Amino acid sequence: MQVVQAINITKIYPNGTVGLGGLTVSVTKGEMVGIMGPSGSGKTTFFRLINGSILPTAGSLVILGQEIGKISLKFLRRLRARIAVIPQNYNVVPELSVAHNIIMGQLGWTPLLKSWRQLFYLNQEEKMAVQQVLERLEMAEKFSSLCRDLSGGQQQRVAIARALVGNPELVLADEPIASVDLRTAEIILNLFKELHEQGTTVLLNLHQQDFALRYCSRVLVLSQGKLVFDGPPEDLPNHLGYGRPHESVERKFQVPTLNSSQEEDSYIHVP
Amino acid sequence: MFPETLPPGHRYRTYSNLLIALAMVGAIVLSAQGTNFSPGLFLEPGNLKNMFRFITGLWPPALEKDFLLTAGRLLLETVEISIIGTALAVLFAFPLSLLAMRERGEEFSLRSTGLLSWSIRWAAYYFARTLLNILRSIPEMVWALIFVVAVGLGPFPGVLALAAHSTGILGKLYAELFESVDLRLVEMARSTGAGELKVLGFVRLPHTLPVFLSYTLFRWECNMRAATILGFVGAGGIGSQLIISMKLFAYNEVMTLILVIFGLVVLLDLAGQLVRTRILDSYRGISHGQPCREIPCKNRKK
Repeated sequence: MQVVQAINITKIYPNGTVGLGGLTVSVTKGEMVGIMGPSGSGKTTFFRLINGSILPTAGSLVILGQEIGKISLKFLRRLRARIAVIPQNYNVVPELSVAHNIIMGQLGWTPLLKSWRQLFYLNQEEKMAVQQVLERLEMAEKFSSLCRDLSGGQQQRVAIARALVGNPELVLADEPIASVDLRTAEIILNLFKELHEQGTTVLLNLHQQDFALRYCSRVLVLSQGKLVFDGPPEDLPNHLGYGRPHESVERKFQVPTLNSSQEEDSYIHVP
Repeated sequence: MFPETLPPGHRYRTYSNLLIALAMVGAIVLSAQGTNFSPGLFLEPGNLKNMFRFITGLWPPALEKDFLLTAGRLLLETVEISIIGTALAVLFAFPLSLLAMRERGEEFSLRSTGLLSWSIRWAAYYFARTLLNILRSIPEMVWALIFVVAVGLGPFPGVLALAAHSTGILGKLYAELFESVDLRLVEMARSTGAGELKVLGFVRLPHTLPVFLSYTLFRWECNMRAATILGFVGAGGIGSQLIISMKLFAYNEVMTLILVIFGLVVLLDLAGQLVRTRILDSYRGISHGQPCREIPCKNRKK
């Protein structure tokens, strides 16, 4: 089953910037696709199009069987409830607690009055759901802290927890590991891999090509709004700058893994 | 600066600035003429005598028990008018502000929503904006005159007058406050499939709560001041006694009333400032683990 089917989609913003110029790509259910490309190459535009935040200028984009731009707002909202988005700059509500921010991931399924009740009090079931995702991200102790008290990496993990709590069919992660240390990056990517093994489709933007090698089943490379490579990460051509690792991070430094017993301060932070 | 380095059009700009300055001076002179502005009138013997009588009449303030009781009762009524008026205003302004809020995002474009719901949405938007504009542009005193005719004398028309005017102001402020929330946060909430009312609850309200409360409290303070003069047109409050005493030339009573109003306003100012500071502080304070004691301002949010 095709989860994402884009045929020649073009997005030109009102100010004339070309976000995407004729992208044709399809993603099958259960794939884990890494999307790479320099800044401004249209990765985020592609995600916003899939999510229906912006509409394609031309071409057709069918997500989970529904064509974006042709469905009403009501159906678009139902579609969005099945898609989880992890934005580039976390976008957590700083004034709300971690638990409230995470329960927001279920807003698409929650009736209006119930959602307003949740603002004042979470019942046992909701607390359990939040606690479960937090434990998977090793943040259980932050359950009731305010999001503005968290560090950038922790906010990023809250954003990921928010995406996971709604049991999405499609996860769109916009540079989920851009601002976290390697250990957290491993936690996050392992989580995505777990989801991928359970049959969830995962699309993620990456800049680190050795992570793409290890975790993704397929890589798309965009450049100036056009698809320039589509295939397994092992076949990445050299001239794109994402080719075979000249000197992989693993060879340069010792990468601490999840089970490593190294000291905290020996972690290397990805710039 | 050397002449050749001056930008082209420099000379022209100097002349136009001079013209603007001349126009401003002209406006001031014309206005003074049009309003019969003549400070000399103060020094005319008849006027001096009147002023002397008024000022000496002010002292000592009337302190009879009956009068003080009346003043106290009317003061209480003034406060009550302002409280009910503000509460009603919040009640009406909140839903109106939701309609008067411009929804940004391509999913609300004509292409996406279809002609019918698009036109309904924008019709509601312009209806709410126009209503708020009308409510706001008519001053409280005029509203009071209208409501005195409609429902008769007493504090009730005063309440309605304050509610009407404040609805216009608060509705616009709330709408702009909710609109000003970071679009990325709003888009994130929408991306979970949430409708606009859920976005309001989870993003817009929590994000703007301290400013929301501070606007509301400030409006209450303004309403309290306005309520002191609503009585001039028979809409209740301490103003009704003030106009009676004034017309009876009982200047010592006027003095008492002025002192009472002055005390109320000062007290209110202090209380309002304290409460607003506390709201803004405690909101920040929770997050930082300890209350912060600076003077609050809107720009400190980030």
